[in-house]
Amino acid sequence: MNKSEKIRLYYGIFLSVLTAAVGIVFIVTIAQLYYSGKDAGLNVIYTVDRISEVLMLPLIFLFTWVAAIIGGFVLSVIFPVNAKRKGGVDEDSLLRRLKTKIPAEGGEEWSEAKANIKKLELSRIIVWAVALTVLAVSSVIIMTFAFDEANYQEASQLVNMLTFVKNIIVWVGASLVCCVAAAAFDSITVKKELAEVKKAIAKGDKNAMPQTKDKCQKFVVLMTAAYSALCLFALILFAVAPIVINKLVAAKVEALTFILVATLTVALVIGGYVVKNIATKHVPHKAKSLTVMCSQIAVGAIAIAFIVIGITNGGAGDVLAKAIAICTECIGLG
Amino acid sequence: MKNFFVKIKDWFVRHWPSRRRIIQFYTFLLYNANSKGYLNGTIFKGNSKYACVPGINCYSCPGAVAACPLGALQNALTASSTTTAYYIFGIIALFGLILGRMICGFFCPVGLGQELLFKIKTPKIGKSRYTRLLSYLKYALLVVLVVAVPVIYALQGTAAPGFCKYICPAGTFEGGLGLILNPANQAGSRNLLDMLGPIFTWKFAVLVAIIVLSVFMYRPFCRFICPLGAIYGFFNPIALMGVKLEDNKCTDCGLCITHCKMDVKHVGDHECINCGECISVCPAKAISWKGSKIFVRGNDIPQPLPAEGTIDIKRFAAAATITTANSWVTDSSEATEENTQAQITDETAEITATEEQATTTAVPKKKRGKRFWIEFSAWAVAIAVLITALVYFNLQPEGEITDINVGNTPAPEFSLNMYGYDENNSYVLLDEKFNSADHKGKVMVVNFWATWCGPCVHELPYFAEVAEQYEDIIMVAVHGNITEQPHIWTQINKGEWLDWLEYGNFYFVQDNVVNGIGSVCTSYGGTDALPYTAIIGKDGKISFVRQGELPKDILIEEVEKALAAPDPEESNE
Ligand code: SF4
Ligand code: SF4
Ligand code: SF4
Repeated sequence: MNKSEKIRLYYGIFLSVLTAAVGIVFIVTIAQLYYSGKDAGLNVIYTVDRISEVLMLPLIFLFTWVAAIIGGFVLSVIFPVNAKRKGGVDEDSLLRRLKTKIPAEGGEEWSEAKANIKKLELSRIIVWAVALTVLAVSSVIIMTFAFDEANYQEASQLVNMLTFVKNIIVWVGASLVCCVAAAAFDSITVKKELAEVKKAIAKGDKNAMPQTKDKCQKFVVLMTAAYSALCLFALILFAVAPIVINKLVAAKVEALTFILVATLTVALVIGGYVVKNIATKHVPHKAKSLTVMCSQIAVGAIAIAFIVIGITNGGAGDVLAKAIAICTECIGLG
Repeated sequence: MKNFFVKIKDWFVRHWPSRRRIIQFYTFLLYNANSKGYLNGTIFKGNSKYACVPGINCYSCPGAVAACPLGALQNALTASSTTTAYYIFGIIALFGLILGRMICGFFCPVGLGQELLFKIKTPKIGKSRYTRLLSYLKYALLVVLVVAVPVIYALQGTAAPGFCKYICPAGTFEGGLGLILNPANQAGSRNLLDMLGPIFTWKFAVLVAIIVLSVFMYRPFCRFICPLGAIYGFFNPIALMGVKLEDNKCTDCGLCITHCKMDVKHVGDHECINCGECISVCPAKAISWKGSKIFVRGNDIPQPLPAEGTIDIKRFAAAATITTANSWVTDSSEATEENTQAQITDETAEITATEEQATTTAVPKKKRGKRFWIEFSAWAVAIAVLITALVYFNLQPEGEITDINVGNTPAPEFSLNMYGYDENNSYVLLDEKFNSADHKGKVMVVNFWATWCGPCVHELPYFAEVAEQYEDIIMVAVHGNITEQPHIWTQINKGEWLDWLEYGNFYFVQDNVVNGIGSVCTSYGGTDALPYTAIIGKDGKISFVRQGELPKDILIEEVEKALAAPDPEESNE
């Protein structure tokens, strides 16, 4: 380590500690100001007098911090340091890349490695499928609970919210645990799979490089057509929905349309992803850009239709109404 | 000494802002063109707020000239018991389709703020498997705080924009601090300090935590928290603008992903903010801008390169080392002499166009071609737009502000249409008027509210209770919503609120809304913030004003004070 690097190291440590300290001082100051006021039973906690009383310490820290940063820039001019980096290759993308390089034929070791890769891949898929199923089931249960008006009958909103939290927490926890476990499992499996993939590449027959086949082309074109049809259907539905709603102005109906619209939008986005990913793998560039173009036209048309519907159903007015007045709770004053 | 100046000059050359940085600053200025708001401590109320800006920029910021898409989305969802949020869905989809997460890389002030903080030279926490896992948190926040909380509360008839209320640091910084640090908002009828409570304490702590984290990590808010980025991420693969990767050119070397500071798996995926910083590190020139044939330079790296096919990977590895999250250095600045050349090229050379190119790098002087003129006109138009916006928004007339001297200012008289039952027994705005003059000599509580305002709706029941308890007073709830849709009353109709009208001293009236604020509200000293409450004493003078939610005990205390005051007519005798 040369002199410049040493200076940079010490300065870096000093500035990190100072930065964290400034943050802590500010948070503690505001918490203390609030709780002391609350304990004293004050109706108005933040007054100019009370704030200026406690502001001294945080400001000293803040000014020191600013001075330290300016000092740092001066230091970096006088003692420039050549950046070094660690950083590694991303395992997931490495795996994805290397998999395409496994030869199509090979000896015994090659087939053993191939079999292992298959197994590991299958285990990853199963684990993710289980985790996602738990997630989906939990979401459905939570949503059913959330959209049932019978669960909000208590007079106190706090009680309602607490009941809500009590009822969903198990499901939230379950899906969280499953997803974290799946991610952990994934990270371990990726390492194992990577080793097997490397083995398969090394032991395979170098002359039998994999050929990309276009056998899925027809399927992809079909899927693109189906996806575009779905988009069109959604578009018509979105256009018709408000007319239907106007006929049945019950609150529940609006909530249902909202869920419908939201679900369809999500379906479109996910559908677009699937179509695009399959297209990326299996069809030539032209068909791929056609798929992307279909999605673009569909999304663009839906967006414009939505804006037009929104202007007529008062949505635009709502945006203005909210934006031109300070809603005290939005900016954290409430 | 000479050496020192050379170093300083080098420093400036290396720190010349990139084109992206200039666009980020430009965006920030344009979004907040109403600069007079910072001086006056008021917010802009013009019709430009029908539209949203693409990035996060709080609409309660004194400078903001348009709405924030994330806030508008939550607000629209809080109304979902009566209106489906088509408008804002459409706007967000349109922005997403055109720009994708390029909005994050170029057009979001919050992203800019975090990038500037990351420049502070401390050790940095790099990206890893764990930060990538954490990057999915924003989807959970999107579902819970942006969608579920507003919708669930909406079904109960209250407005609760979850993300704005509990997390959004842009709201706390721009809107909150931007307003309360202004002395004009620290006293009198515009006093905002009065209403600071637990939520402000919590949100201030969140803001500080995010600021501190941004010093140590690249864009922590964008990577882990921002629901808007999560939404735009869905549009990234189909966005019309942004970076693109040509599969047939890519050699799978992985340099781009290693160089990138976001949690991307491949260029252009849902985490990619389309900053374009990986373009210059790709040795195969596989990454370029979409539409680069017309608008911007593609992926040509304007530095002497070995002929195609004999690319020296090490050289690019060296270029990739310049900027990383793991290094001690925070930006592309600390390059050594040889790296400097690689660094300056793509960014600096293009901005400073032809003249400076010759002096800073070994790039041969180019003719001013079509591309130069396109870029030149783009900058010219952009500057013209910014100047026009700054002039236009600052020349807009400032909303009227009435000074209230509590205890002395006589309460202005008003006559407004009342809400009540029509012949079909439905609750509508009637032709009948409420005249304040008819109730002279009585204590009157005037509460200004709006249906979309959570705290307003929250406190109204207290006012009803007080009206029931003190039969001698007159309670007027002045509705100041500008959306004149009959269905806003459905949520009032369905609850126990109808009973309140039976009390006989509780009136719902509709204010005349001018420039987004009720004229009666203005005459009572109200400005931009709701709820606003004024109490009028028996002597007809305003005895109390309060901006923000009014706790029940203070309301009762003030009402009793007003009731206890000597009757002016009796004391005259
Ligand atoms: S992720 Fe959110 S805060 Fe970050 S740049 Fe994008 S919109 Fe702005
Ligand atoms: S992949 Fe490239 S364009 Fe995308 S965020 Fe990373 S560096 Fe920026
Ligand atoms: S740097 Fe270029 S060649 Fe290497 S992986 Fe990225 S896009 Fe492909």
